[in-house]
Amino acid sequence: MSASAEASTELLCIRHLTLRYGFGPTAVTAANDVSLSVKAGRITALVGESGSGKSAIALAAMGLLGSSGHVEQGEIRLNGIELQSLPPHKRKAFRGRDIAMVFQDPANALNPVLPIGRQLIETIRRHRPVGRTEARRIAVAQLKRAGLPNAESLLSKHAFQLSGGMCQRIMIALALVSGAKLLIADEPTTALDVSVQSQILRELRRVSREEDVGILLITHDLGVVAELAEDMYVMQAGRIVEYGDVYSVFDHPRHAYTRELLNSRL
Amino acid sequence: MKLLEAVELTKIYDGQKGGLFAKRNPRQSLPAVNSVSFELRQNETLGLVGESGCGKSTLARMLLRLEQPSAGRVRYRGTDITDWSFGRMREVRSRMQLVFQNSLSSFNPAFTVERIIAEPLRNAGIRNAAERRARILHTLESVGLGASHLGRLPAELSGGQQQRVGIARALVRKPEILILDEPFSSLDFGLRRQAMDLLDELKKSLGLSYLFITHDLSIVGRFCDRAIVMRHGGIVEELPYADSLEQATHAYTRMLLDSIPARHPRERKIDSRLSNPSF
Amino acid sequence: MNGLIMPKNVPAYLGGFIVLGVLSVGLLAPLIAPSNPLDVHMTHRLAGPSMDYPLGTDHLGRCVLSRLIYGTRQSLFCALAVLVTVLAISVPVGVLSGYVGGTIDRFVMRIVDILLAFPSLILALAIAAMLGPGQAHLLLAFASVWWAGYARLIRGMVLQLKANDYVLAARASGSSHLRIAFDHVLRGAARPILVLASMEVGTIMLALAGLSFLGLGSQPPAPEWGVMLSDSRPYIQTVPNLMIFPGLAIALCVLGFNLLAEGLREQRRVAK
Repeated sequence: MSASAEASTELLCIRHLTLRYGFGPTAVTAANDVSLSVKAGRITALVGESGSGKSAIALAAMGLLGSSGHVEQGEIRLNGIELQSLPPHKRKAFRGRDIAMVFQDPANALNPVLPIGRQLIETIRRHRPVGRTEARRIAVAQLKRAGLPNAESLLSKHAFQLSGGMCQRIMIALALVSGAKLLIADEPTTALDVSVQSQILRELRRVSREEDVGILLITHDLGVVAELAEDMYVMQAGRIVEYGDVYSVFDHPRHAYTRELLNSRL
Repeated sequence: MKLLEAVELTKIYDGQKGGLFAKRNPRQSLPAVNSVSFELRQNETLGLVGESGCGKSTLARMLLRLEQPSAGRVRYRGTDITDWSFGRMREVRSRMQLVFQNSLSSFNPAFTVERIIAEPLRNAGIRNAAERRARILHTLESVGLGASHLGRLPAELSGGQQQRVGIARALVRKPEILILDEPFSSLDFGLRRQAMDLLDELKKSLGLSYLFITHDLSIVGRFCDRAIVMRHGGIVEELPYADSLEQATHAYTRMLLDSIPARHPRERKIDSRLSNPSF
Repeated sequence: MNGLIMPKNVPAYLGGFIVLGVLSVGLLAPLIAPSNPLDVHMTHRLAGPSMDYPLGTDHLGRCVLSRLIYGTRQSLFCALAVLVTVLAISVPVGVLSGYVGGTIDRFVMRIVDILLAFPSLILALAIAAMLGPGQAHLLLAFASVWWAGYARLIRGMVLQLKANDYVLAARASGSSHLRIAFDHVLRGAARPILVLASMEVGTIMLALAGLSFLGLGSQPPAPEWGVMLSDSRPYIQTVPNLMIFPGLAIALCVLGFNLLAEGLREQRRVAK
């Protein structure tokens, strides 16, 4: 495996996390005693079917659980810093700078009324003390690194003028442009065609290898996991039922649910 | 036996409406479907493969005459139905049915399961409520649901159950052709397999023929007898045997095949190609 | 989504309470009014509140409370009549226009455009003046102007609903146009139309009162709130009660309907 795998630092560390939505007797437990870690330069998959609670964990790590969701127990450490004890404005400072997220539907995640360039430049300037011209140069460089053709002219385009695959690659660039080293990708290819999917997977692989980004890949698709991930966690009804490196889990699944998932592939 | 036949079907969307000040957008008059011909034979599953925007859904709607072709003919059992009126089409609607990609959106949210499945029966002129209910129950049971689901609203059902209700609605008037529009893509993997087994079983027991629309070649090998690959509104390749996809020759089909994710980490395709991002 | 109104929806309850109250006052007018609203008692004219006349009397010695109570019938029921007529025209037209589309749609919408190009109150005024004073004429004038905006709105809803997958599914399953229009399109539009209508009652009441005030519509001595306001004009300085009470009645009614509409809209939003 890559050289960084050995000496990699732990970017995200979740320990004994229990998440609930709502309060009192109607509360729903979205995650139950979940522990996982994501290391720099590695792609870690969190696999589960819809409703298993995998997206709630992503939102909790981002600090975006919303008003009814809350952490009942456990801790979330980002670069070694415990997030739960921080006041909201300090937590907010982590978003974008240290941790970033890409979503299932790229067309909706980009602002439809602003050109791509402005969104990139504003994000850069929010996190780095640079001027407009410098921010623009960084944005173009990032798009070029992502292998997007005509990076300059892309800056003046709007999201609706671009294909879904293009939008998603821009989303990834946007997520990383401020220098975040941890990327949460929530079903990043589910809304895309297969041929585009492989482009996005390749781009995720590239950023993990070349930019030493740690990726938490949330998906229900074991094909995507087989293609991309190094470690995987299998989640069922709010609990982690199995984890390990992908080779050993695919070869020797220990939990019945994992076997069922593997067998349900066509 | 040719059940359903498309002869040089073409659909061109042009900006006809808009009146006095409307500009004609030249891009809009590109054909969404361009002179496509194929046939669906009895008791077969024909895969219609293509990525989003390739015209496969428009093609399916033209076959069902839910969309009027700009040119070309649609034949059902040898009879040309291209110019049949809306009223006359109702005679053959019971023979060919559509199963939607997103079942939930294909149900009126205010209707119970019973009422959803009853609608085709009412359209068939079955006024006797008891008879309708008996047929609804029978159909529900054939897709693995039961009387307890009759009074539910679609939003109260799980994704897999919604899919089954969608299939039941299509089956209740005993059609011979089902057009399946990405029937699995909104389902989790475990449910996909169940839905596929169900459709296989129904095909055998009811003697159905399927036109299966999908963007995913990996399912085609498992589910179809033959397949057609579409791109930009036209057919690029016909695969006479879906279980030997590897023999596909067209570059686009090859690219689709290469894009199917690996089944096992050892078979990874992305790593090997990482050094060559220009592909 | 059980029942019509969910608990804790304060505006809906409060508005519903006021509307029901006003409606029952109107229906039960003969039972609760202390005296005949048309009886003239020149000896008691412009009297202050008393046991016989709880809110005093007007310039002809008629009981203000009784006139207010009977006025509910006139004002409220006229507004409802206008609304029903408006819906009876606009719903079929809007559904037809949106569902069928094409030439019919373009034709209908041009008529609507023409009607909407005029300020509706002034147009209604002109038609009412042309037909001559009288309650029935006023209703007619109103309905013939007011339907246009509704028809356009309903057409918009129909266009949106028509694009739903379940309409396509209904077509694919062999449903007739009539069934689709009723079961799948009109049904979906019913609730928003209801909300809109309840919001509109207040506006119509105000407009009707305004026209009566100007001397169109209800004629004296009929007990109608607008007429009462108009009659009270010479006595603003000396007997302000005469203006205040009908004014309050109108305000209360409009408030009730607006609250109800607000509550229903909130409910739709939450239900979604």
